[in-house]
Amino acid sequence: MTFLFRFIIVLAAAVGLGVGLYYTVQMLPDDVPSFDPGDARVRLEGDNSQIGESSLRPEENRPEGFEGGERDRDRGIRLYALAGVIRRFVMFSVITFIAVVVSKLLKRKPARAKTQTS
Amino acid sequence: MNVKLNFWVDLATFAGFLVAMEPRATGITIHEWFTVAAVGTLIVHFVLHWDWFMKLTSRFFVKLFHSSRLNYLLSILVFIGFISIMVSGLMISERVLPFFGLDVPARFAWRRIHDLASNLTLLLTAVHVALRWDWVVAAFTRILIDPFRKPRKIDPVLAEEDGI
Ligand code: HEM
Repeated sequence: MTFLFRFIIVLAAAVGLGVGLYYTVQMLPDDVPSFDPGDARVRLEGDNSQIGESSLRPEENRPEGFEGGERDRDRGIRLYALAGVIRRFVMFSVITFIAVVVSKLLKRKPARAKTQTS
Repeated sequence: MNVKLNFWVDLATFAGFLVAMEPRATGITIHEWFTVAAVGTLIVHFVLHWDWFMKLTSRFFVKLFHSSRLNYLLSILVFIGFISIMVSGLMISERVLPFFGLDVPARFAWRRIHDLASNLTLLLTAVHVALRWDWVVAAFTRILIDPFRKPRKIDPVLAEEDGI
């Protein structure tokens, strides 16, 4: 019962903050819907046939089957992209490692100061 | 608090977060439904640390500059981070919201917020874990290593949660 009560409170806090964020961002002045600097380059340097496609993101102009392509981004689980998960894991581990070392060093400092004064 | 339950909920949250960070690995459909479903796990994670949070809330101004106080602030930021990811994710949703027949006005800012909040929350979570590193090592040892060795010893880091 206590668990359910706490669950509802945390959920309510999350929804409250979420609604606040929603209205804050919606109140911001209008933004450009899908501008990508790559489009401007296409318009300036590309041949005329590209102009009509300038709203496409650069990835969409890549050949079929290109790994980073937007077009095949919804074809289910793809193994090559697991490298991305591993990359994030390594990044996370490095940050954690640095933070652990720093926090241990900071915690040790007062102890050393104490032994020096005594 | 139950160390085993905490450990597995933490591990599931961590693994889910990493997979969610790479939508190209799963495709957008799985990315959206999986993360919406994971909201429950996230809230359970927060609820399991309710007592810790309340204890620090009442003690917050008593003793300044302590790592648990830093972690208290961090956990609030991580909470806000996840809310930002979820709200912005829903605002750029291509599967979940349309499934419910909802059509929200798309704003480019939500895409930026989604990406930025994910990366910042990953960074904050890493520091959050680092500040509880002793607990992580103690719980890992007890749950995944101790069952294979004897005799078992009591870890002082987990003594409070064990009620010793
Ligand atoms: C823990 C939760 C989540 C995390 C960590 C996460 C993380 C990410 C990341 C890192 C990206 C790539 C952003 C980019 O490269 O620009 C992304 C894209 C996306 N996410 Fe999420 N996300 C989460 C939840 C959600 C939810 C709940 C939804 C919607 C229901 C959602 C919808 C999307 C969509 C539609 C994209 C594609 C954006 C694009 O096409 O560039 N996400 N997410």
